[in-house]
Amino acid sequence: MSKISIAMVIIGCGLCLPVAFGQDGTITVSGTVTDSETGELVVGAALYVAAQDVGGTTNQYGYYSLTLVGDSVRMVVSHVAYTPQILTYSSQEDLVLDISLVPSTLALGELEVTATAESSLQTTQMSAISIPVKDVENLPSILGETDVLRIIQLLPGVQSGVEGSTGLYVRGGGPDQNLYLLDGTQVYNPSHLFGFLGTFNSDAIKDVRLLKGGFPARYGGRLSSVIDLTMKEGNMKRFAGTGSIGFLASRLTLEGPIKRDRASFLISARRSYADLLIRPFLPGDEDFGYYFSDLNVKTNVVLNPKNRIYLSGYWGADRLHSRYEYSLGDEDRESLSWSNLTATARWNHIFGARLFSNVLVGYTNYALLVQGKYRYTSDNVANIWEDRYESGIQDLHARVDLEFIPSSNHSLRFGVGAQQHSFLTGAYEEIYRVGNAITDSTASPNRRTNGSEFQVYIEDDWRLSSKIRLNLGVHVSSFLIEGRTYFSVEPRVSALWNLNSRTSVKASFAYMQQYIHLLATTSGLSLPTDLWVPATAKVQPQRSLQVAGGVVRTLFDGMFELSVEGYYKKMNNLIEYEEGADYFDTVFGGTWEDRVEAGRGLAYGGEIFFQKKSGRTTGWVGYTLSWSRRKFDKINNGRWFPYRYDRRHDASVVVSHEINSRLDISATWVYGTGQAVTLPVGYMVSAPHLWDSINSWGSRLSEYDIQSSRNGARLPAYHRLDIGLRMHRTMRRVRRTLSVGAYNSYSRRNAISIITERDEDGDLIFKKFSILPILPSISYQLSF
Amino acid sequence: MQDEKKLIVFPTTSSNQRSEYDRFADGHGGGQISFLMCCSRFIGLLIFILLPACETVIEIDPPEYDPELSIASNFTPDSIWSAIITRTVPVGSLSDTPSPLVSNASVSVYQGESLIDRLIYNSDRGEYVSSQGLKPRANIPYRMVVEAPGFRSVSATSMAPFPPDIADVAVMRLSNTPNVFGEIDYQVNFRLPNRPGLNYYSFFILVQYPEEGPTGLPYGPDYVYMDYDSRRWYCNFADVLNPVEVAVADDLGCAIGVLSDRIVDEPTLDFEIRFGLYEELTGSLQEGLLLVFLALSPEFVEYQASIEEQEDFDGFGQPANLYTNIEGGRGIFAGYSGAYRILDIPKFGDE
Repeated sequence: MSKISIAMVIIGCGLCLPVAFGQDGTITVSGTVTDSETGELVVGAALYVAAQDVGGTTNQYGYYSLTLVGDSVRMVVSHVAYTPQILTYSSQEDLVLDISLVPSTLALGELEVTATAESSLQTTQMSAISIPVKDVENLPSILGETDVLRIIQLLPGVQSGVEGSTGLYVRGGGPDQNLYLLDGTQVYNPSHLFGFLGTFNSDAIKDVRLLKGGFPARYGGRLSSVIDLTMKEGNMKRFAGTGSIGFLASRLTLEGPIKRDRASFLISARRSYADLLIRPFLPGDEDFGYYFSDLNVKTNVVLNPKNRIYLSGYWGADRLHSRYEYSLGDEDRESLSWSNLTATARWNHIFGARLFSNVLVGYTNYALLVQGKYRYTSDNVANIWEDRYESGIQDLHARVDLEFIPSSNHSLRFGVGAQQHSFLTGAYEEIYRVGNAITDSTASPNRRTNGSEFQVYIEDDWRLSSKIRLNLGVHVSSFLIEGRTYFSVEPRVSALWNLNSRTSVKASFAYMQQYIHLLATTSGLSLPTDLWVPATAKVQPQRSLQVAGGVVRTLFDGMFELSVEGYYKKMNNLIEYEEGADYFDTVFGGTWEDRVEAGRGLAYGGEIFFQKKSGRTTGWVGYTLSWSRRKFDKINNGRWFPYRYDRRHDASVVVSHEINSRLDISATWVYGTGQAVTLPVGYMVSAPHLWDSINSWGSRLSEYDIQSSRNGARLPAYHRLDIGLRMHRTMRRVRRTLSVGAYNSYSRRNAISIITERDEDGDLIFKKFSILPILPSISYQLSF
Repeated sequence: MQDEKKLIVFPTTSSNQRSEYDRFADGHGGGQISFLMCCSRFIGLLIFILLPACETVIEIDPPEYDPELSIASNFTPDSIWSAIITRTVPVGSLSDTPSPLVSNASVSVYQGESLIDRLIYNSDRGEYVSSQGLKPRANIPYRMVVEAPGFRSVSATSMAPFPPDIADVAVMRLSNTPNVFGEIDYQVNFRLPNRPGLNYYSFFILVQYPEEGPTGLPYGPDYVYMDYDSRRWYCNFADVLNPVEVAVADDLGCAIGVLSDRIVDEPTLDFEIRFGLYEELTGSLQEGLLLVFLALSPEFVEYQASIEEQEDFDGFGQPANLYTNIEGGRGIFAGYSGAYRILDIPKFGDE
C-alpha cells in the first residue's frame, strides 16, 4: 500500500468520527469579531476558554463558533492589533455573541497575554504566518511604497528573487507555485514595475496570511505557498480616508458607511508619475515613459445577522511606451503593457450556531500586450509595419465553502469549487502595409487553450485530547484540457502535540498538484513576458509531496515566540526551457510545449523564526538553511544541479521600535548566499558553423566559451540594510505621518547578474551588474 | 520513420536568414524591426529609466576546470582524413596559453577494432592529416582516438552517410523584369530519393561574383539567398532537431537549407527553390551557380544546432555548451557526404 493510500485510510477514519462522537450537554457560542472603531471584521482573532481549554479563531470573515460545556463561561478574546477583552457570560442555550475589539494604540507590554490566545501553540496549522498590515506599514519601504510582498520575503523559508524584485521562492519552489488570493480570487502576476513592487496596495489590505507548508485541504492548485490577502471592507462607522505622496507614486483611499453598521464602501487608488515628471524634459518629437496604477474597490452589505454580501474588485496595470517622430509624418511607436483584473462576489450565510457558509463567484484576467507601429515614407507612399503580441490567462471560478462545528472537539470544513481557465499562450501577428494595401502579414496559430478545473475537499480539525490535535483532510481535483483528464487525490495531515503550556511539537504532510506552469526566463528578472501555460496532453501537471516537522515555544510569558521547523519537499513534472531555448523561441519558433523539458525538484532545509510580538519593540529574526536542486534528463547532462534560488543561508533581522506616540523607527537587515548561476569556465576552438566555413570569409576554427555545469557558480553574497523613521502628528482629527527612509542604506552593490567581458589579453573578466544602490525615500501621509 | 503529423515551422532569424523587410529597409537606414527588437529595447529602456545601473569588476572564482583535448574533424569521402587537435583553456589562463593547438598528439583512426590510419601533424596547416592520403568511405563507422601528454585520452565515433542522390535538376527563369529589389527571380527544381531511416540533409547555392577583391581574385564564393516558402525544409539546424508546428506564409529567405526525412512518407522529396539574382550580375557570371547538397550524420546536425543556440543566446535563457560526441573531451567528429551540380543560368528567352 502506498504512503498516500495509508494516509487516505487514516484521514477517512478521522473524518467519520465527528458524526459518531458528537457531544450532548453543550452549548455553542458563535458570532463575529469586529473592530470597534471601523466595524471591520477581524480575521484571526483568538478566542479561548481557559477553564475548558477550548479555543478557536475567527475565520476570514470574522466569524467564530465554539462548542462549550456548562452555562457560565469566562472567555478571552485577543488579537495582536487589539486590546484583549475578557468576556463572562451565562447561558443554557446556544448563544450568538458579536464582539468588538478596541485597537491597541498603546504598546501591549503591560497587558496580560499569557494563555489568552489560541496562538501557534494550540493550532495544528504549521508553516503559517499572519502579517497584520499595521506591521507592514511600520517597516522600511522602497521609495516610500509599502509592500506586503517585500515583507513576506523577510520571513524564513521565503527567498527573494533578484535584487529588488518581489518574487517569492518558497521552500525551494518556483514563482509559479505560489497561490496569491485576493478576497479569494487568484492574482497571477502580482507585480508592478517589472517585479520591483507588489501590486497589493497596503492601504486597501486588511490581512495577509502566508502558508508555506502543512496546507489544509481547502487549499489546492499550488505546490509551495498560499498568500491569502483580505481586503478591508470599508469603515462601517464613519467616513475616513488616507492619502499619501511619495517618490514613486501617490495613493488615495476613501472609505465609509453607505448605511451605518449595515453597509460600507472602500475605494483605493494609486498611480506612479515618473512619466508625467519626465515628459516636459523630452524633445517634442519624442515621448517615452512608464507608469503603473491600481484601483481597489469593495463594498459589503449586512443584509441581516445571518447574511452578508461582499463585492470587491481590483484592477492594476503597467504601461511602458515610446514614440519617436521623424519627418514626413514617419514615426515609431512601441508599447508594453500588462494588467490584472479581479472581481469577486461573496455571500456569507450563517445557517445556525454551528454551520457557516461562504459562496464565492470570481473572475480574474491577466493580460500582456506588446505592440509596435513603424511608419516610414518611401516615394511618397507610407510604409507601415505593425506587430502585436499577446498572452494572458482568464479564469472564471465559483466555490462553496462550509464550516461545521459539531462538537468542541471537531471543526469540519468542506466545499466544492470549479474554475474555467482560458490561456493565451503567446499570439503574435504582424502586418506590413504599403499605402492602404496589406502586402504581407504573418500570424501565429491560434494559441488559446481552455481548461476546466474542479475541486472538492473536506477537512476536520480534531481535538483528540487536551494535548493532541489533528487536522485531517483530503483535496480531490480534476483538470480537463485538450480531451485529457487529470485527476488527483491529495491527502493532507497536520498534527499538534502540546508538551506543556509553552511548548508544542508539530508535523504535517501534504500532497499537492498544480495544473498550470509558468515559463519564466532564467535571467532572474520577473518579466511580464513570463508565460502562463496549462498542463496539457503533452506536459503533465506539477506535483509535490512535502513533510515538515517543528517545535514552537513561547518565552517570557508569551512576549517572544520561537519556532523551529524542518521540511523535505519532492517535486515532479517541473518544466524549464530546454538547453538553448528561451521565451523568444516560443514566439517565433513554434509552440512552447516543444521547447520545454520536464524534470524533478528536491528541496529540504530548516528554519528558525524568533519573534517578539508585543511591547514597544517588536520584530523577528529569521534564519533558513536550505538546499534546492533540480534534475532534467536533457539539461546539465541529466545530472542534479542547484536551483537558481538555492540559497544555503538566508537570514533576516526585522526591528520596529516605537519611541513615543509621535515617533517610531524601524530597520531590516537581510543576508543571503549568492545566487547560483552558470558562468563560462573556459574557452575552446572547434569547427565553425557550416555558414562560416564555406563562404569567402570562412574559417577553419571558431572560438567558443565553455560553460560551467548548470548553476555551477555563485554570485557574491547578498546583504542589505533598510532603515525607516516615521513621525506622526494629529491635528483636528487628521493624522499626519512623515516617513523617511533608505533602502540599502550602506549602498551594498549586490549583483543582479554577472556580465563577462574580455580584457586586453582576450581573457574573460567578470563584471558584477548591480542596480540598486542606496535609495532614499520620503513620503507624506494624511489620514482622517 | 516516425508516424507524425506533418509539421511546419516559422523559423527564427539567424545569420543564415534575412527577411524581405531587411532587404527593404536596407535603403532606409532601418533594420529588422520586430517584436524581439521591441522587447529588447524596452528592457534596455527599463534599466536606463528605472535603475541607476552600476557595473563593478569583481573577482569571482569560477568552478574548477581542467583543460581537455578537443577534436575538430568533419570528414567526408571527398577529402583525406584530417583533424585539428586543440586544448581547452580555463578562464584566467589565456595569456599563459600562446596557442591552443596541440602538436604532439597521437591521432588514430579505427574501423571497428582495426587501426586504419595514424594522422601526422602538418605544422603549416596546424592540423593532423592522413599519413597515407586515405579518405573515409561512406556508410562505414569510424572511431578516432587522440592521446596527448598531460591530457585524458579522448575518442569519438561517426559515419559519413552515402552522398545524396539528387536528380532531375533544372533551373528556370521566372521573370524577365527585375522585382522591387532589382533581382530576377529563378527557380531550381530537383528531386531526392527518400532513403530508409532518419536522414539529415543540407543544401545551398553558391555564386562566384566576377568583381575582383583586394587580392586580385574574384570575390566569392558567396551564398545565394533562397526564398523560404517551403515547409519541407528549415533555415536552422536547431529547427530540424526540434521540428515545431507553426505558421503561415512568411517573407524570410535563407542561405542554407536544412531538412530531415523524419516526417516524409513519399518515396521522393521534390524541391522547388526560388531565389533572386541581381540583373546586372547574371550576365557576367562565368561559372554559373553551384548547387551543393550534403547528407549529414546526426552528430554533424547536433553540433551545428548547438552553435546556433550558443550564437543566438540573448541572456534570457541559459547559456548552452556546444554539443560534443567526444568521449572524455570536447569538439566534434562527424561525417558528411556531398553531391554537387553546376546550374547554368537561363538567359532571357531561354524558357
